[in-house]
Amino acid sequence: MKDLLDLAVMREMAAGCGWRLEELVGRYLREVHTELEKLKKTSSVPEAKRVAHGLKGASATAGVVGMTEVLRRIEDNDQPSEIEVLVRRAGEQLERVEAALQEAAAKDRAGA
Amino acid sequence: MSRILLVEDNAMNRDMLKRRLMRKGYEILVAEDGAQAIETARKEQPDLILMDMSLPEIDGWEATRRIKANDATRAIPLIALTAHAMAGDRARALEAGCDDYEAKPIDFARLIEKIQARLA
Repeated sequence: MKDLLDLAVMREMAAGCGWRLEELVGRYLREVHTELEKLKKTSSVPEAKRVAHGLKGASATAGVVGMTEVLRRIEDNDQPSEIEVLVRRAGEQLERVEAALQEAAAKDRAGA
Repeated sequence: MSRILLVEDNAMNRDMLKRRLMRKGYEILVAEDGAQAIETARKEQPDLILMDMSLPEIDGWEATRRIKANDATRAIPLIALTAHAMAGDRARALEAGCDDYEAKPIDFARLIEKIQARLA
């Protein structure tokens, strides 16, 4: 899980916002699914780079480090065909990240 | 209570930073793009602006130049928020008229120090 989530950052961010960890996880998942849909639908390279940039920042800030590398690669890419492949990889990576996030939220609930 | 205009297009980034700043006692106005930022700065005259530089349409660099070129808003302290912790970005931010600069992911304690210094 350590390569996917920085739990110290996540806990600090949740506390700073006045949220439980579960709330941060829920908000992050809503955001990442919404933005990933935008990435899948757009045919504009600048738009894809902008969306990836924003989501990369939100992921790093929330401690979801497992998404940042693939998003950085989308942001740095100028080739539509390569961006398409990377967006698919981001979707696959999100499945792993989401499982880790759900596990972290469940542990937090159990410890509450 | 000091009023801060937070300019950020990513909803989650905006929500997280807004909540943390509100919990520190600041009143927060928000703008989601450069055009909204220019208009809100002019109308609301916030005490300070936090400007993400990667924005749709009018980006943060251009919005900063326009805010600093307007007599009605040029005196408002403006701190740039960028994702790139590069020396060139700091120079570019200052050249655009920013009063200070903070790289993302944001070190919140350091950002608060910078805000307090600009509001003092």
